[in-house]
Amino acid sequence: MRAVSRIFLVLVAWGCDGDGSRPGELDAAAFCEAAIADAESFMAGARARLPVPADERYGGTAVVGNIAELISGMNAAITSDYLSLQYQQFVNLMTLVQYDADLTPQPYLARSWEVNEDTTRLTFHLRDDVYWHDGERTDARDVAFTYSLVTDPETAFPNPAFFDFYGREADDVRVLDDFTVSVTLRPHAEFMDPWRALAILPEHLLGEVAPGDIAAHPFGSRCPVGNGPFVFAEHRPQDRWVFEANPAFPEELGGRPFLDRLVHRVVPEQATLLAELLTGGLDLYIDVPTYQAGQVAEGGAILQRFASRQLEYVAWNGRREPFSDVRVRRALTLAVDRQELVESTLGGFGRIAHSTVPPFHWAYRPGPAEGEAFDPEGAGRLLDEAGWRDRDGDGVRESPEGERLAFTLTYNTGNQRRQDIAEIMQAQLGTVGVAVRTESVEPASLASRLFDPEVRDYDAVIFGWITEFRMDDRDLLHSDRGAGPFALSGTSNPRLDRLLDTLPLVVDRSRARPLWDEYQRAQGEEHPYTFLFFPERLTGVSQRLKGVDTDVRGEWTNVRGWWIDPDLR
Amino acid sequence: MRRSFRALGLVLPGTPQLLEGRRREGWLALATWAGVGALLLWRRDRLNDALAGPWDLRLAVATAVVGMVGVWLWSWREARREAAGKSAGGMRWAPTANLFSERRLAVAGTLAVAVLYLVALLAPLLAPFDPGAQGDLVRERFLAPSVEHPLGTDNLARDVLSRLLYGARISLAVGLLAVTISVTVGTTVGAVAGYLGGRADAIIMRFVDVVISFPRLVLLIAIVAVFEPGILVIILVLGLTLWPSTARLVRGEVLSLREQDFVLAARALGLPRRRILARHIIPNALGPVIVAATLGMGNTIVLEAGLSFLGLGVQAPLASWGAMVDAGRANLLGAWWISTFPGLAIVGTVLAFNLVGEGLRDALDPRHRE
Amino acid sequence: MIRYAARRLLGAVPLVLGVATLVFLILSIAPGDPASYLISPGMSQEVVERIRADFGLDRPLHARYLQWMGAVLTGDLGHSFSHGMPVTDVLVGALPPTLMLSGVALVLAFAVGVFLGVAQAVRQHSALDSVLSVVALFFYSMPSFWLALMLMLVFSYMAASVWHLPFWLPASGMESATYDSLSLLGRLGDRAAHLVLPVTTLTLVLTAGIARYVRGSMLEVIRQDFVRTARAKGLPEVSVIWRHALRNGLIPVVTLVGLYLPILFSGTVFIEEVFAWPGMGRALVGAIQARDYPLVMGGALLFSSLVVVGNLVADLLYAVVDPRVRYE
Repeated sequence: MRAVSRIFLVLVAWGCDGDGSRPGELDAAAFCEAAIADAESFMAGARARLPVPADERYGGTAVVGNIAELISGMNAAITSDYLSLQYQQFVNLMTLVQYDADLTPQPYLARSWEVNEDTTRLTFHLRDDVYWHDGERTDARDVAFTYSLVTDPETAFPNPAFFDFYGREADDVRVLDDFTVSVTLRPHAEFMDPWRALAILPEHLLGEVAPGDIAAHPFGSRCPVGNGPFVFAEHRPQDRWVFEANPAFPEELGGRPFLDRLVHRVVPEQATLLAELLTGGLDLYIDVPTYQAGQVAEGGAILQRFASRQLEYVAWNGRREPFSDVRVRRALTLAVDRQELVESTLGGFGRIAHSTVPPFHWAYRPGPAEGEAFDPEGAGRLLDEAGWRDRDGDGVRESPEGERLAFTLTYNTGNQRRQDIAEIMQAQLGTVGVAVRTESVEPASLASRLFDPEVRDYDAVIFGWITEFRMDDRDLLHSDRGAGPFALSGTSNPRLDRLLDTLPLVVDRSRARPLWDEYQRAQGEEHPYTFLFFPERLTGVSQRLKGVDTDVRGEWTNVRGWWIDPDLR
Repeated sequence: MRRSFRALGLVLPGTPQLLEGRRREGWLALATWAGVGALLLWRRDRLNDALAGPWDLRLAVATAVVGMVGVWLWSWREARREAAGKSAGGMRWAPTANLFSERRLAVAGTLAVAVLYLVALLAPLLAPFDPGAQGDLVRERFLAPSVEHPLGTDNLARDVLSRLLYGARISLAVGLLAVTISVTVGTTVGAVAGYLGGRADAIIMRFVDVVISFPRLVLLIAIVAVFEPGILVIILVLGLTLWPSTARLVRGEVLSLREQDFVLAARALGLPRRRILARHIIPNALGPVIVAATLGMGNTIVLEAGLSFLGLGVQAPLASWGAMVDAGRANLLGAWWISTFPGLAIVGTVLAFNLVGEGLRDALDPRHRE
Repeated sequence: MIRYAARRLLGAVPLVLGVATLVFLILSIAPGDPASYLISPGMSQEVVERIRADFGLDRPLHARYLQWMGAVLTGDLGHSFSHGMPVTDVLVGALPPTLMLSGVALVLAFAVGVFLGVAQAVRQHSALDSVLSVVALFFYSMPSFWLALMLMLVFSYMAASVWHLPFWLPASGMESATYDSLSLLGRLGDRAAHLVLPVTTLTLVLTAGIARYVRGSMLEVIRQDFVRTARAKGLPEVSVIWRHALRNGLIPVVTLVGLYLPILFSGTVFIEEVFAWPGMGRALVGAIQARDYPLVMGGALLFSSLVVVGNLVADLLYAVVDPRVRYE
């Protein structure tokens, strides 16, 4: 197959040669051809040099399936989608550090690291036995290059908040020797977090590319060259990614992974994914919807569950009546039976959310604050107090001026869970005299209605948020970010602002804890959003795939330890 | 003897026809009358608040009453006409009607379509539950078919049968209105192009070509994205993307009719063009249009289902059959009834329309006559 | 005839460009742009502007249109951001799977359709005629995605997990993960097994239309004088029908081939979606949803060209098989 794609690339090159008007394309084809040839010859050499260890766990192909493509491929400089990040961090590329199960940083590409006394300079000592799959050694220049690339605004790195407290000037990152690199920073909490997320890119391949051109570079989806445990073998758009074991992966990090090949298949239909898992076509079904959970177990596969980093919430547009009134926002929360939402839409796989702080966070405060539990009568009293009463006996409350308490609850088309939430909320809010109209909007259209500060055309919207391990909710809650895309509520609360400004800078956890407590309470008082729940993420694993261990870090965390039962291979 | 038949018809419609040996019509009238009557009797509790109730309940009751009275009137008049020895129907369509009624499948299709529209109109009386009412969300979701819920419950513990009955209204309304739009526009454009000929024809048909070679899905998705995908938008979009094929068909018919003797004669008489077109050409080109329209009903219902499959159909909580299939598809392996029954409803309905369409085609097409 | 074809093709250029222009306009009206899709938390307004500029969204409509049109005329369809590769590559990559699926299905549908149509015409109004009509119409009346789901449910899931049959059909994809390590025969078998469900779905949906058309056209031919003559000469009925009548009855069917041709390249969205077939239909719908303008326009351009070519092929074939038709 690879031979075929190579021929194809050559053909493209010829085609471009002919009219000569697309030098960029010619470069891309040439780049990929060279990169793949180099990687093939280096890997062939490594395979010959390093025999597969004698252990029955080595060998076999594991097939992973999900509805989504790896949108950004291995292009770590522009990635915002979860799947691409997972493959970059754990499969094809390497990060400087990895979290263990307690979310403490452990050495990975970096052998060790240290900060100076006043936490203004962070120095990494890299491994010297990690090779890019084309044979080039991974060194400090790759790290410095990647850092400069993602902090350059021209690149449009999607997660600039990672480096809010790091130096962004040219001399803020320094290559001290081949395997030592340092960056400057301001002291802040959990400053190691970006380094477990950002995969390092090869400077010798991408160093010449202008930051603005990196998004369209063929490295990402056509011919990635990584340095991780799996080597890129093939990508067929909308169909599959194929990775092969890297025999040259450092022994100290576990050496060659057990699997010969790892295939990621894109299957857009969830019923098909389940059928594939249960008929043996898939070994791992990523993100099983909750109502399929029963079938996974009944069909003879194994269901794994873990706390995800997702938060589901309803954003009230506080720029509009009646949501500018905190009593109304509060009443709407009290009137929604979130436990029932968890039981029904999640089938019990999840927990009620009372603030943005998730259960896996060290400062998580369980249980609702005073007066936040499901209480439809309390909701009624609050609405009465705010002046919304049913004055004409039609079952819907009105303001003194006769305006009905009615609004539109919007969600994105194609999200069955949110559609269920919308329809359940519609029924529940109806019982306290609030008329809800539900509306589904196609995702791209919805985005333009939500994120543009000049538009903001919605009453209330069901939306989600992915929490980073180093929490930073300023985009959601800080009044400074009112013009930013994610300030969906747009309310302003000085106490929340102060906490949001302080929390990232308090390094000592014992000093930070009371602040986090206060932060979670303050969210409850302001109620800019109605936090619904933290869903769990489900994974279906076939009987023959062993060693899969999913947790909040993701599904691919220990992909190096996956192996296929030899009897079922 | 005849007189007493008629008297019987006053009590039980259909009986005069039965006694005269017109069994098919007799049984049909009697069954419709009795069925609707039984329904009203069964649902008499809902009749009390019908007058003050929602419009659809009022419409359902009105349909039932009008239906019963209509059958009764028909039976009585038929019996009287029979007595007077007159034959039914006009001359023009009689051969077609006869050919059509000889085709049992086509007749079955027609009956099925009639029943479907009746069901759609009577849904508020037929449905055992409120289609939007959610049951106990923890215990009553995904219930398999049972006596209480003959077709099971869905992801929000709603009764699938009730939703199916109400969904008929949306699917059928979408089909009917969209086809009306496309046939009206298509016939007008096609007839004008075909009759005028020359440059006007060329320009119009080039435009039709553009619309036909347009990837329809792009248009559908884009338009649905621009406007909120309400039921009216869906109808308009489907109607306005389907007309070009009708236009082509009509133009072809008109081109051949234009040269025929009776048109030439009309022209020689100096009749105005508009009159020739409206009185002589279009009526004679209508046969294929009716066939295309009937088949188009089926196509439109399938297309609407396809849009729903992409999540772009009619909005919740209204549920077209397509939207119901869509909502149940991810849980197809666990709760097959949610997607399967609305799917079967679509197949049955579209099949009925297609049978009627085929029957009409055969009946109108002289080639198919023995 | 070559001159006729050339003239038709030249005349079609404005048509194709017209379609592309319409697509461009409609997409510009549709709310949402690729940038709004890529925005993520923490992104500064400058970064957002920068992404918009990358897609040329900061420039006025007519400038974008002229630039795109200019590039198209030099053969450059642009860069698809949702796939991270040139539009040409995406289209060329999605084409072979679609060709394979639709090609096999079309051949099968025409073979079955012609056979059924003739069989029905020969025994018009018989029980066989009615039964075949209803069966064909039954499948014709199905939404293809629903038929696809049902077939997958029965022949893949139920066969394997409920009835525990020794053999079941793969639910999706074009080949197994182990395809590369199979023998040549094994590969053929694997590919064929993966083709069965999607091809069956498509064939079932397409056959009815063809059968009905063939039936109608055969009914007309059977009544003509030359058929009567052939019978009078004492030729066996089989030869009369399948050699003499069919040859003439197939003439109008040829136009159908042209009309079905675009399916061969544009694919069928729903079948590709259910069976995870990486073809053109999915690529196009995905592109619309992601507002991947260059890919949508490239796809639309390809699609409308195919419709034009399909119609032309139909007309030309008509002239080839029916000597009475001449194109000047």
